[in-house]
Amino acid sequence: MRKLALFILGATLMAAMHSVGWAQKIKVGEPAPDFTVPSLDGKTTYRLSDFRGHRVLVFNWASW
Amino acid sequence: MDTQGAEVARRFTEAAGVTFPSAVDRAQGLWDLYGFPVVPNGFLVDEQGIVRYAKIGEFDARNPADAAAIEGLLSEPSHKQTAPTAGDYTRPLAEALHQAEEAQKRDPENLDLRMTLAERLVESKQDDRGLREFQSVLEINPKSTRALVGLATAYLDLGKKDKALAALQHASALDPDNWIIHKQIWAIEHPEQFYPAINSEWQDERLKEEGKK
Repeated sequence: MRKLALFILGATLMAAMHSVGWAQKIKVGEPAPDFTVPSLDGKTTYRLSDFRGHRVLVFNWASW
Repeated sequence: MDTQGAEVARRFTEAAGVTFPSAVDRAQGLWDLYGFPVVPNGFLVDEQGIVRYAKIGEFDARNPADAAAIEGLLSEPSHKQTAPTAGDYTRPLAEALHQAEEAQKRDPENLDLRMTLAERLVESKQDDRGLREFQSVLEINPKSTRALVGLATAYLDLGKKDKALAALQHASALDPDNWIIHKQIWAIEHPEQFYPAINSEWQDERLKEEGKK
């Protein structure tokens, strides 16, 4: 089993709509900005930099 | 990405039997930090914290093309230099709040740090304090959509739905291309169209109506 930690964040089931006028700040080949987010049970937090040493798939979704 | 909080997201993770760590970003801090106006997105970060893959919008691990892209990167030799962190990767919320408070004290003029602190306060159920921190950011930068969405999270927790919607509508007006804020408003105004199941036809109709305006 590869060392892959998977992170799930918040996915629309609807196709993404095309939008203009926004700046994608995240770029392949550059450092991923660090962030802290609370777990779904609200008791603990996850910090991206704590996963250093692992490959991490960050998946952003939403309930709507 | 749910302004309403973990509860609405938890229904999906429980139904899907998700086994990987799941978290909720209520105040859209990640949207601001990474700069994306839609979900679902997938990012692969390597052992040294470098972004190796980014797909903004329509990312789906069940989609063979998306899965193949990730698998291809995972099949490359590992660059691992540091030992994997022990434990289950979690930190107590109180520790994260303390860190955010210390960081804000060291650099009181930094609005990003102040919003991070405000988010931790709201997560810690200190909504009144969180509200004040978000308001103090807005006094300096009235166009901060992150602070406006943050304000909405505190208002929602305090049972002030109308104020929460007003803050979100203000944010949406400032950033009309941001579909994360836009759809969040739909979900709060019309929960019956989203929970327990998403009504895609309703969304299509709504888009048509808004397109006419």
